[in-house]
Amino acid sequence: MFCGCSAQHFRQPANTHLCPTCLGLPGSLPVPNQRAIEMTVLMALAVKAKINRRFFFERKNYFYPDLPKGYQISQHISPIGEGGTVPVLLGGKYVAVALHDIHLEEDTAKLEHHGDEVWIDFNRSGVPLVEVVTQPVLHSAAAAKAYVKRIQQLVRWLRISDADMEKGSMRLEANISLATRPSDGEEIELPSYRVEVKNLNSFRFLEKAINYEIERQKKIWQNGKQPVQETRGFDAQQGVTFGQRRKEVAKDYRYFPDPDIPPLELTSSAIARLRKQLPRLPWEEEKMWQERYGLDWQLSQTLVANDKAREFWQMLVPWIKNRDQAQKIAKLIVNKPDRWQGKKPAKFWQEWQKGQNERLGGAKLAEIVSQVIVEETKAVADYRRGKISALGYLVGQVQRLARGKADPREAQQLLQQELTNNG
Amino acid sequence: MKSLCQLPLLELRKKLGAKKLSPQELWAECQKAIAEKDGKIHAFLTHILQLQLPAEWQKTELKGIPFAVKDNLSTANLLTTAGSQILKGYRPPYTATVVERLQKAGGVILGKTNCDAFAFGASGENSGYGPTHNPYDLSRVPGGSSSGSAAAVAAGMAVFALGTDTGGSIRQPAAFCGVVGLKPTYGRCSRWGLIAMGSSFDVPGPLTRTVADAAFLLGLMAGYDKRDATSSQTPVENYLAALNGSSVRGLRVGLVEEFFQHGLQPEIKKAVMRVADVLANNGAKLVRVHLPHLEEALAVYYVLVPAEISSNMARYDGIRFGWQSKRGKTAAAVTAFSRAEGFEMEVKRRILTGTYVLSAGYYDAYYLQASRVRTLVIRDFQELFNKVDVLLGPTTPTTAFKLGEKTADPVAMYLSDIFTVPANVAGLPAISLPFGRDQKNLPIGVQLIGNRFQEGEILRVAHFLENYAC
Repeated sequence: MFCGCSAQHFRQPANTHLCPTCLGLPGSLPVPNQRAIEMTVLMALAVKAKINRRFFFERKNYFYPDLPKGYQISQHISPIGEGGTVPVLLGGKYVAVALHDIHLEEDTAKLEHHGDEVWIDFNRSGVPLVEVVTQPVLHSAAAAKAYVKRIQQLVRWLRISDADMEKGSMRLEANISLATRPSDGEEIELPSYRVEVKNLNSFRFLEKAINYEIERQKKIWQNGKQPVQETRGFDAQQGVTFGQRRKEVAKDYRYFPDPDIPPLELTSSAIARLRKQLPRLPWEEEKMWQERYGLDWQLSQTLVANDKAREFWQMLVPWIKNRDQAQKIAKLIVNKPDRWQGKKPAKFWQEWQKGQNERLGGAKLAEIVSQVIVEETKAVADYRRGKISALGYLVGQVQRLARGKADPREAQQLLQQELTNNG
Repeated sequence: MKSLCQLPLLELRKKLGAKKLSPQELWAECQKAIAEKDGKIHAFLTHILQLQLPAEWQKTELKGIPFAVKDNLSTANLLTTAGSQILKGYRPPYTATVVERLQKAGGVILGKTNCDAFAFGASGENSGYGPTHNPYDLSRVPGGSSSGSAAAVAAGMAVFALGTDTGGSIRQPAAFCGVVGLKPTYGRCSRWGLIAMGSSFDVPGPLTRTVADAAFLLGLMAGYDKRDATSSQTPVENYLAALNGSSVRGLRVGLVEEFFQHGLQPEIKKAVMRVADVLANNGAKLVRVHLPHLEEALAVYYVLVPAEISSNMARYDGIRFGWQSKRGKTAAAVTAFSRAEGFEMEVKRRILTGTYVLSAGYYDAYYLQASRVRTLVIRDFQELFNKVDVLLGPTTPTTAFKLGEKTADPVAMYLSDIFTVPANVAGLPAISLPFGRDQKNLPIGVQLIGNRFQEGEILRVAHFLENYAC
C-alpha cells in the first residue's frame, strides 16, 4: 500500500517481498499507492457511498509482533467512502444492506506458530487492505452470508482482488449481539455489548460462527446475564467460538493524522474518470435479465454469479428471440453445464434450436407413455382412484424422458387414452 | 598554518580540480585531525579509516571530498545508531537520499557523528554513547542535537557535515561551535532514511565553514524524492550562482521584537544589532515586527513533536533490529524489556509526554489544540513575510553552556530552543551564521529566517554578512 513490494503473498517463500518501508526500518517512509486508492474509490462508487474528496491517512497505534512500525496506517475520521448500500437478495427480495464506511489501510505481517516459537512472515505486511464495514443491519447468519458473498462478487467484478479466502485475500469479521425483538414498527434497540469473531476464512465458518454465537449468547441472556464485550476466535474443527481477549475497556489506539502522508484530494475529473470505468454492476445485470426476459430472481442471480455461465449466456443473447427461449436457455445453462461447456456458442445454439423444433410424437411418444405408466405405479393408481392432479405429474415424467421435446398436449391425450383403455 | 580540512569546501574543490591536491592527501589530513583531536571532542561514533574513492571522481562535483554524517541518517552497511543504545549494532540495508545524493556527487563518508539519542536534545548530553565536547572549550557543550557534526567541522576534522533540524538541531550547535548551519524549508530535502523524530518538523541540512559551501551543498541535496511523500516538487535553484554580486540594497529586514525579550545574553543582542547596522548601512530597510505567538510556538512544539515521537518510537520493539532484551519470555515482554533497557531517559520522557497528549480524553485539549495553534503561527509568519523579505534574530539565548549545567532542568534545556523552534513549527528555511565571539571567546550565532523555499534569499544575505563577521 505504501511501498513498491509485490502484493502476492500466498505460497511465496517467507520474507522475500521486503523493503525498508514494509519492514518498518528506521528512516523509511510510506508513499500511498494511487492504484489502491482508485480501486477503493471504484468500490465506494459501486455501492453509492459518499466519497470523501479530501481524505487523509491516520496512524492506529498498538504493539503486536505482526505490526512492524508499532502502528497501522489506516483511516479513521476520513474514510474514502462513507455510507452506501449493497443490494443483496434475501428470500426472493432485494434488501439494501447499509454500510458504515469503506476505508483503506495496510495489512499486517503473518504470524506462524511453531511449537513455542512464533515466526513472522513480512510478505503480507503493507499489502493494501480495503475494509468494508456494515451498519448493524444484518439479522441472521444467512443474511450475513448472502451479504459477504455479494461483496466477494463485487470485488471480483470490479477486478479489485481475487477475494480468495483460501489465499487470505478476503477475510471476514462478524460482530454479533443479541437484542429483544422489537414490537412492530419500532426500531431495534442495540445492546451495549458486541462480540467480535475474528479471522473467519470461509462463508460456511461465518455462518456457523454466527449461529453458534446466537445460541451461546441466548443462553447467557436466559440465565439473566449480559454477554461480555470481547474478541473471540472460531475453532473450525469443533465448530465453536472461544474467548481471546476481553474488551471491557475500549482500547485506545491514539489515532492521529500520519505526518508522513500529506492530506490527499480527489479531483472531480478523477472521480468522473473512475465513474466511467464502473461497469454494469451484478445486481443491475440481474435486474436487467429479470425485466427483459422474466427470469426469476434466483435464476438470474445464479446466471450472473457464475462467470463462465454468464459469458456463455451473453454470447447467446443476441440470438434469443423471446422470453420463452430465454427462460429455457437460462435454465439449461444454470442446471445442465455439461450440455454447453466446451461448446462454441454458435454450434450450441444451432443444436439447441434443432432440438426444439424436433417434436416427439407418434410411436416414439407412445413408447415413452407406456414406459411411464409401467414405472409410475403409484401415480397411475392415484389417477385411477380419481386424483386428477396425478396426470400433471405423469405428463412431467413423460417430458423428462423425452428431454422436454414431447408435445405436451399429445402426451396428455395419449396418457388419458392409455389409462382409460387399460383400466 | 591552517590544516587542509579547515579550508572551505569550494576552495578544496578548486584545488582538487586543478590537481594541486589529491583526495588521498585530504583524506589523510582529516584522519590526522581525528586522531589528534577526537579523543577529547568525541564527535564521531563511527569513523572510516580506508578511503574508497568513487570511480571517475575527477568528473564529480565533490571530487572525493570527505564529509561527516549525523548518526540519525541511514547509511547502507554502516553503523547507524541515532545516538541511542537501542540501535547499537544496527546496520541499515539502505542509504538516506541526502547522503546518497552527495555520494553520487563524489563525496566520501568519513564517519558518523554523535548526537542526542534520536536527536532529542539541545546539548548532545542525551547521547547514549557519551557527550561530545565543544572544540572551543572542552568543558562546554557543542549544542545539539547535531553535536558531533558541528564539532567535527569546527575542529577541522571534516570539511563539512550533514545534520538534521527538528527544532534547531542544525542551527543551535552551529552557533555554539562557530560554523554555518542551514535548515532548509520542510520538504526541500528528502527525509527518506532520516530516522524520524518529529516527522512534520524534521529536515536534513548541511553544516559548513562558509555560506557559499552551504549554498553549493543545498543545490546537491535538495529536490523532489518519490520515496518521500512530503518532499516538494518546487524546482531547485542554483543557490551558488545567486550569491554572486549580492547586495542588500532595498532589502526589508524584520527584527522580531519578541526575540529580544527572552533572557538574551547581552553580547548576543549586541551582535544581532551589529548585523542590523551593517544591513542598514548598506541600504537595507529595518522593520520592527512582532511574532505574537512565539511562546505558543514553543508549547506547540513540545506537544506535537512528542506526539509524533511516541508513535515514531513504537517500531523499536526488539524484534527485527537493534537491542533485544535477554529478559522476557513472551513477545510482549521482549518488547517491553528491550524498550526499558535500550531507550535513554529523554527518549522515555518524550514517549510518555507524547502518549499522554494523544490519549483519549486529552487528544482534543493537547494534540488538536496544538495543531490549531500551529496554523496560527504559520499565519503569523505569512503576514510577516508580506512586510519583510527576511527576519533577523539571534540563534540562541546564550552561547555554549557548561556540560551538566542544564541536564537537571529539562524546561531550561527546552527554552534554549526558543528562537530556533518557530522556523520548524512553520516549516521555514533558516540559517545560523557565526558572528563574533562573547567575552569568554565563545562563538555567537545570528539567525536569518526566510519565507518558504526562499533559501536563495537568506543565503544571499548571509553571504553578504560573512565579510563583516569578524
